[in-house]
Amino acid sequence: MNPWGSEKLVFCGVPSSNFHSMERRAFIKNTALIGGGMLATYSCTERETSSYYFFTVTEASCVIAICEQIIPADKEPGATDAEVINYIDRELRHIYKQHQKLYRNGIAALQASCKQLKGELFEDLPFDEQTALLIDMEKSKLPKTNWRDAKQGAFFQTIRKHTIEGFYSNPQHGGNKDHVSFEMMRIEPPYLF
Amino acid sequence: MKHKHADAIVVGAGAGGGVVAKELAVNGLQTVLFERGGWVKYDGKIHDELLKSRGVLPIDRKKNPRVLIKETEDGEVEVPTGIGHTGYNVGSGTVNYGAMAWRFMREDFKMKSTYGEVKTTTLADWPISYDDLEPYYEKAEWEIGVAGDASNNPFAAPRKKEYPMPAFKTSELGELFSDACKRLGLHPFPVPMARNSVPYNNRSSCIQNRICLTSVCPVDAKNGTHNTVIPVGIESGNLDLRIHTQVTKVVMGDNGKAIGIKYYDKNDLEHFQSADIVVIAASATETPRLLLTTTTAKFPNGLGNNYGWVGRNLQSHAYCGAAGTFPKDIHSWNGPGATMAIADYNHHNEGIVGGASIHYDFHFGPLRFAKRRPPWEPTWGLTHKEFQRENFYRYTNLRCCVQEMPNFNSRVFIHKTKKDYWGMPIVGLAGERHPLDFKHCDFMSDRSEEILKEAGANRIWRVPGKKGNPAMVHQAGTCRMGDDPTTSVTNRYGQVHGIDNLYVGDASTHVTNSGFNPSLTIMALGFRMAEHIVEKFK
Repeated sequence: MNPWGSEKLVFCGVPSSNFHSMERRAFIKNTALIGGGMLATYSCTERETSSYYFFTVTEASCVIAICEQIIPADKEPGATDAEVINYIDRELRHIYKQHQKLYRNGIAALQASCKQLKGELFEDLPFDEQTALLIDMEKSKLPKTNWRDAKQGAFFQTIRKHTIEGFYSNPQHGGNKDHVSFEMMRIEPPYLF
Repeated sequence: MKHKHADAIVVGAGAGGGVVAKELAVNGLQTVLFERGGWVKYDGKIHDELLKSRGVLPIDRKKNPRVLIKETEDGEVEVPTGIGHTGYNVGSGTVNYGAMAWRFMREDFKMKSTYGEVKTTTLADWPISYDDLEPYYEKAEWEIGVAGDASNNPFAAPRKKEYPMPAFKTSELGELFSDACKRLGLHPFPVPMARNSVPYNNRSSCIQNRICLTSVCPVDAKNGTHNTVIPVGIESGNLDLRIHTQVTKVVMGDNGKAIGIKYYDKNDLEHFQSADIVVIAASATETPRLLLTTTTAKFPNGLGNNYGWVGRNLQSHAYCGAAGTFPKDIHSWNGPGATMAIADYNHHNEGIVGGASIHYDFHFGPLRFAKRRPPWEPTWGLTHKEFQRENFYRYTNLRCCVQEMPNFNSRVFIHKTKKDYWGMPIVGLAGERHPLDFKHCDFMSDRSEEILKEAGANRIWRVPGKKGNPAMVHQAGTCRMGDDPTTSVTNRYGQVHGIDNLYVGDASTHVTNSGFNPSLTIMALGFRMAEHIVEKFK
């Protein structure tokens, strides 16, 4: 129970209201490799496949890596430890619904750019190479051919803003797990502000 | 649906409307007060920096669209825009404001006499002076509840009575600011606050909540119209507050007078309320919209708009200043901040028309601090995180509330084709701040830098004034008062020229907006207008 007692944080086992067709396709593709029998347990397995409301597992890996670039771990926790991904995932269902397309297309475009330039997925690249790619993305300098469906500068600024929100806002919203950012900033409870 | 005839209607339960409605009601006028929002009550859920950054009671933007005309290289472009900080609740902005409760200075009512004609502006004198308003400032301070001490401010205009509550004690950051100002020969003094420094009006004293600006007070120690005058009005038995109502039209009679208003209730049912007197106090953007929406044979371009002044001279404050970090902690985040200010630069600065008050900023939390960076600092990555970790307690910024030059092109208009949810033409905004404002901002940023340097900041950066349309916080000026009906919208009491029972009761009537937060002046004008109406009605 969070301090407000208002909303229980549940990430797994909740049927997503926006079950996205791409996610469905990705799932069917994946399970088809395993065998037809799996399709009978479709919905149950789906919940295990992605514990997110919006992101697929692969998309989430990419977003987690970008968030970690925005706020990296050093002697204190970074965006991954603070579970900023959960904040973004949750808000994309509600207040940031309008950004769903930007995320979906933006992630795909970034991955296409990474494959073209580095031959690997973004999250599999060394930290410094990821940084260099994001600097280019911020300045809209990644190959234009991969960015027909999303504006790279806008995608960068959106995910940057959301990462900072998730990391520095109350854990009630899904990120800032265990108040890590407040502790880092020497802010003492009660966390009412 | 029709209702029993009322003596008076007030549209908008904010700083102005709340005061007017209460005064009319306690003086025996059957008054109906309309408010588009509802009551805001403190609850733990809204005590949250992220939610507050999205607005305490977010307005439904789909129902209330607005557009802004932007000047671009390709000509004028129409873009959607938000509503800024206009309130959407009983008490409006006085519920979650910073609660600075300033009296304007003498010069603020006499800008043209003080500075002469300023080309390309509509700078003018008010038709009333500070002395005309002084008794009503006093009434506002005592009825709303203000804590202050003007004895250290040599620039304050004279007052007859002390503040009802002692000034707040300052913090370590306030001391740092004050000491630096004193060393520079300036005159720091406690900011007058509509907040209880001691128990007042049967409510408790302030608990120094960490973030006050943008917050609903958890102990109801911040004073607005929602917890002072409006409840008093309701208690009188003569005030009927109708919340969640959207007023769409002033209805005019054949005799050239206002006979009432049309409005929609929560269930979208249309109503008509008749009254002898109609006061519009819906904000400097919504008030001109209501006037412009209603046309008659005598006023084909909107009520009070035969000379084209309704919606013009939209102004607020060109905030600017400087920010800095210090080599050691300078505060311990005891809220709410902004306890000390100076008024040395409000007037009589060489080469400057007007000026600004300077105060150090209200405190805010981690989220807003993540946006406070010198322009050369990265906005993400390890360096951004390190800045956040090291400087949260070592940072302050000085805010200058720069008096804007009114200009005719900065304006509110009603859209020719676009309608809102209720079928009313939407608000369009056009024009920008006057170029002189940026000269004044530069001057004030220089002064802010000097103070921060003297205070010992090791890293200082300027926060320049923002360009664009000023329809945000502190919006004013769109139905200016004046003696000449050809260059103003209302007379000195806020009565619309040519319609003797229609009044404007908000900051729309401000001729100029001073270098201070305007809420106490809006309230004082409300008291003055109400007295005038009551006398006339009897």
